[in-house]
Amino acid sequence: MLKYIKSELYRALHSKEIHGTAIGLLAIVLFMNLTLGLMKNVEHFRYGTTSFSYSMLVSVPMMYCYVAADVAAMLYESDRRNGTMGNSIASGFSRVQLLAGKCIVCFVVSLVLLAVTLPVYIGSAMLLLNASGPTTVRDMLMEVPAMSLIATGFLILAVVLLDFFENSFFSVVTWLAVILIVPKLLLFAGMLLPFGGDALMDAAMWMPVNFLTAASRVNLSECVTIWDTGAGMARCLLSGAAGILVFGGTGVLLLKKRDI
Amino acid sequence: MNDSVIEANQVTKKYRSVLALDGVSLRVSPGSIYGLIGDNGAGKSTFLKLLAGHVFPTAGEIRLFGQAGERELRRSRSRMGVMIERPGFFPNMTVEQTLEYYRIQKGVPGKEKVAELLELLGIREKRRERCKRLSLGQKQRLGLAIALLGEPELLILDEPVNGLDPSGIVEFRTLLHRLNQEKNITILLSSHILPELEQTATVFGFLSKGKLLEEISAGDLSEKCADRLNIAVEDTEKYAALLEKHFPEENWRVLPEGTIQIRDFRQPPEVYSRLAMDNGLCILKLERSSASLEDYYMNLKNGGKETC
Repeated sequence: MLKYIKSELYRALHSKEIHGTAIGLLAIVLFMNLTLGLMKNVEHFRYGTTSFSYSMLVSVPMMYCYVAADVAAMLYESDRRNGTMGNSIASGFSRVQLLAGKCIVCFVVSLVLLAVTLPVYIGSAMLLLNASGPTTVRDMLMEVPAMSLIATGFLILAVVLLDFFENSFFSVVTWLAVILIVPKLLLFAGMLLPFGGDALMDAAMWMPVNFLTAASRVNLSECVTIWDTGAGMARCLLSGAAGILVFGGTGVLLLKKRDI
Repeated sequence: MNDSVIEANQVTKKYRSVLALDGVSLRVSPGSIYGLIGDNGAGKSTFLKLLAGHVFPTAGEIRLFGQAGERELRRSRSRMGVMIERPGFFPNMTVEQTLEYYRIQKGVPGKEKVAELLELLGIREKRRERCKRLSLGQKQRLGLAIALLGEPELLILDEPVNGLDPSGIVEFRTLLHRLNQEKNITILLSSHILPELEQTATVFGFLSKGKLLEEISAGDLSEKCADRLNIAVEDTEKYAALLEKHFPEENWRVLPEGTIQIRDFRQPPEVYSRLAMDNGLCILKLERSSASLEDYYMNLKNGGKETC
């Protein structure tokens, strides 16, 4: 499996799409901070602060999941269609080895993208903006471990779905349904059901999109995040770990004996 | 001790309600070039995909290099090179990057192997070209280069000459012979171009509707498709009657266009021409031919089994 991972890392290193994503992310954060910096001296403009800049990411922690899934899509969206997966299987790799290898490669690439983008994000904000407001670098840095396992779980789900469906459209729709729609439906069902609703709500509140939204208040006057408390951080990590196990296990079951 | 490189025992593959392979049993001996022949949907690609691990058999057993069982088959597959249906590559990577990618994946030491294969397959000047910009023939060459990485002992090729120009086909045939003879690589290939396959393979397997109709060696095939004499005369009926009278032991038939064909003829050709001329019949055509693999296949498919 190590050989497969090495070859995939070589490919990622030479992938135009990955280079494009890195450049795109850097351009977005630089453009945002530059624009805010240029506007900071305009009268009544309240957004030229590091707090506002950081809050753009701190208030949308699911962004980590979207970027991770995007990396998976860029690398493996056409793996089956291109016949490259067939070549790897014919070289003697099992489907489970390929699944694990893909997840590891996506994780590493996502980590590299984060390692490239985050210092530029924070550095440009510090250089160009007024250091004030409730959201701090600490909030932003603590978001990384809090979201790491959750994003990894959803990345695994993306890889599994891209392998499972021949049509990428179904993979994207199913992925969005699992991470956004199903948790919301469960939450509403829990609220509406006269019996057993509490249990359903409790279960729904272990789903990231629900507890991240419910426990966070990030705006110009306050910054409350779920990872501020030990219990909140633990919820993030436990939910993420459960996601890794559930989606990883589902992937093994679905793909182990799948014809390509 | 098992001396077959590939051994399929009663292999069946069903895709939902479609029976793609129905109890196929065949053996490929080391050092042979095995040509798999069949119409579209006969099950050729499915069989090759089973060997490559792309699909799983519904029933039956496959052995590669004498090994059966999932883990052992996977290990055996590292000794194979495969190109099925189309070459697998990443459209935006260059030819050289693609080969380097697979070199790393197959654990082949030394980057010089990539350069060697680019040279061998005649795509060196295309090494910096993105794969998506290659012609169909160049893609086939790249696919073969990928299959040849890792010094395979067995090559599995599905329609490998698709998209190759005539000189490319000749080069490809020469290359396969070289690989087979110099490196002792066993080759299993399927093709629709039967005349090409006839010049390449040493053993033929005929698949139809998921069943293996027959396996035959090139030697046995040429024996079965022995010489024939085609004679076109002015009056076919009269000549047929003469043949019946003078050479009652001959095996002959009238072809649709009116030519009389004598199979395994026992007399020298001039005897048949003299028979016509002595009886006042003008000979329009007299040619000697032997049946092709194509004739044999068509005959077999239509239910005949003994001769072409």
